[in-house]
Amino acid sequence: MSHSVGDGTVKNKRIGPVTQLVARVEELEQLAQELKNEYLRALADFDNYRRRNERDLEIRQRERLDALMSEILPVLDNFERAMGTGTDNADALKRGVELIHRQLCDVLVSYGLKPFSCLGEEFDPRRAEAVGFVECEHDNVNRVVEELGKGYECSGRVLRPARVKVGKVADSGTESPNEEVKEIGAEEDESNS
Amino acid sequence: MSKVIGIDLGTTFSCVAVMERGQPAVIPNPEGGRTTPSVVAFGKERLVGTLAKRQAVINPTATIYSIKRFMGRRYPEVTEEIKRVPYRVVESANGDAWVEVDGKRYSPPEISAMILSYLKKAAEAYLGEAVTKAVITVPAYFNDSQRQATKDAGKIAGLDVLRIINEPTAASLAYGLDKKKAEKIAVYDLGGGTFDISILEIGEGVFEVRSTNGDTHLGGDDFDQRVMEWIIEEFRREHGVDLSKDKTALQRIKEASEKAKCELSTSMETAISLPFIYADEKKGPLHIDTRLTRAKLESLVEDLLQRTLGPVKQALADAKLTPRDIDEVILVGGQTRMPRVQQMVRDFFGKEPHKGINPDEVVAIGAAVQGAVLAGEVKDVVLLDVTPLSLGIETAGGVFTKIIERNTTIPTRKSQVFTTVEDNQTTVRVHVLQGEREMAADNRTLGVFDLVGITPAPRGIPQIEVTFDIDADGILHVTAKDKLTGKEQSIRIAASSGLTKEEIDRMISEAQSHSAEDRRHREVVDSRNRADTIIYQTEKMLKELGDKVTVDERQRIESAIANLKEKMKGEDKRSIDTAIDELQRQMSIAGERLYRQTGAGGGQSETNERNKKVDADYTVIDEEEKK
Repeated sequence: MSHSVGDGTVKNKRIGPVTQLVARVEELEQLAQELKNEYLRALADFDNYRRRNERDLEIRQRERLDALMSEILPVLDNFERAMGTGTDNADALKRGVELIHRQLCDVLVSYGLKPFSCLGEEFDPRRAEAVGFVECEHDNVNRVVEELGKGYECSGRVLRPARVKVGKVADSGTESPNEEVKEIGAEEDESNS
Repeated sequence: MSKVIGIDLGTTFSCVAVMERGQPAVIPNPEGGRTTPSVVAFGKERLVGTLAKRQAVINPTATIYSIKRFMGRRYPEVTEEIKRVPYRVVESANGDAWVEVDGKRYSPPEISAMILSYLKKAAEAYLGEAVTKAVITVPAYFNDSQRQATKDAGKIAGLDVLRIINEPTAASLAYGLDKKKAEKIAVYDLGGGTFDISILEIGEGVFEVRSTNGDTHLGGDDFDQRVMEWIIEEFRREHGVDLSKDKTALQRIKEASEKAKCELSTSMETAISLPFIYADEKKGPLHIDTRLTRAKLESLVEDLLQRTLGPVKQALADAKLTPRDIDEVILVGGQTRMPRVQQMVRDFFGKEPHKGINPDEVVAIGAAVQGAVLAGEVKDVVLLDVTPLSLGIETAGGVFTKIIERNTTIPTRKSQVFTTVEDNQTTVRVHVLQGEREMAADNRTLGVFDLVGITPAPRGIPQIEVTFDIDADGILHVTAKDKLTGKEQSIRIAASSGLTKEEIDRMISEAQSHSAEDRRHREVVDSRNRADTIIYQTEKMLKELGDKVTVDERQRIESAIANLKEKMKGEDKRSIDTAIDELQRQMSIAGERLYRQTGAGGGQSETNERNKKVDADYTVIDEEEKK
């Protein structure tokens, strides 16, 4: 029971459990609303940040491409000079082409490109792609015996695997394991005819 | 709950995706590819994906591809398929088709599990957490045994397969078609090796497969083959050499054919250039240098395209529907990038097909969508609005200073500090505007209010913080607060208040068309503002220094000021800037002499401090003072 003193102030008011709960609920509802707002703002911030990030990435990609292309333009110029020269001198032309080749290599190397060769190594699909077999001596089995295309790596990862042929001993037999199976790959052209 | 990944376990390629905050993300493999070849190879080590493919030619009996064709199948069912593969397929104890490599036997689920395991690891590396749950897709025509085999594969790979869903359903989910009330959907899936057509019906969020059909051996590879044959034939006609016998040349031609085919999806013509393709004993080195037009390509593959229509018509007949009954058409599979394919589908169904999502990834994305729903994530995804137009205030010179850029996600809050433009200015007017033009007068007024009671001070000294706050309901609150006194005033505006999309678009396009002249105008205003500031500082300094400045110097400075004031009236930015430079030059001549004479830099540095502060802020116009 509450007493009220003459001046209107209420002393010793015993707050009932229901009133307490109601007050608590209101308090929590307000807190929930505040938290929800904070959460929505955080979500929106994240969204805005993500979008800005994407934009920056696009810009940076474009800048990188522009830089690379600008450096290749002089190579183009030199090719056009080579094509425009009306010379019959095959040696001179060849020399010129070699110079241009070196110029292009220099540009690409400056961007981290490195050629590599797998000749003589054991075949590793991480570095090479096999396009066929070549008959060889026993100690060359499963080694890269012929290289039809160089491999290239850039900043430590393989950009393009080398294109190779792998050694196998003659008559080591890749017989078709299933009856009437047409073998593909090494024997493809035979089955197609 | 951990993230649920979506996996498209395809015949030739697989793809894995996951939903992140409502956005689908396709997960790249360690080799950097967004799709992974469905190939497994046994040898010195076990290889999966691109690596396995690289040694397929030299290891044909132990390189398993297209295992999907054997999933959940019994040995007698697949005799035709067995003929097409170089690896050994055997009958297991219970009559199923299994593969045998080097005397060891593997069930197709075991092989598929190796691919799934590879994708699982890629997902874990990408997400930085363990992945244990997945949704995997299967063709709509897969029977119970085939579906169970897929589920088993998941289990062997350590994945809890929450659901197996149909590929056409997944594609529909990716395009959000599950939100549709009741529609009939046709999914045209032309991949690398197979063609599938599915007719689905969506109702109340549930997909039902009405019919399916297709061709299990028709795909992009066949299209490549046609181009290859054309190149070889052309070469034979010109040089009398049959390149199909030369394995090395064949490889290059195959690659060039695929590349050309892809390029012709975006160009009308492409060059096929293969220098030094063959070394002829008599003729020397021979080159392929030819052009392939889109029209020619289309004629080379027209019969293949027509072949897809048969199954489509049959599927419609089975579903008792006509092309006109179909509400939505979806394109799946890389080959559907070809314009002729899209045109054919468009003509057949009489409507534009959905193709906005990468057709190689759409099924995996749909599976990821389903995964997110099962993970309970979809509840959490909140759709947030963006402000359609920029918001800001009017500042010195009638300029519009943006505070919140358009297309910013809301709710958001941004503040900027401004200052006064006149000495002893005690009121600032905050004119809130919306739009994209450089000048305030060209933008839309949202509201105006004044902040009064600013302590009198020289211009540029007071700090008025203006805050723009848009809440989750889109209501804008603009507050101006005097940081010294703490006094603040604010206004509440319903931001977009009635602007239609057309009006918004118009405002944006107007800003774009006027952008050059707007920018020029603004630059003039900026120069004028700078001039104003410099004149103010200079006049103040002249007063302070009194007769420390020589008569000659004072005269020169004052004439420079007069000149600048004159130039400010005009629109020529360059002449204003030149006049500013001249004034500054006169000032520094006098200043240098003073400095040398008095030996102290006191007066000067004080001015510099104030210079810095004023230059950094924009000034707020007080319209009342101007009158």
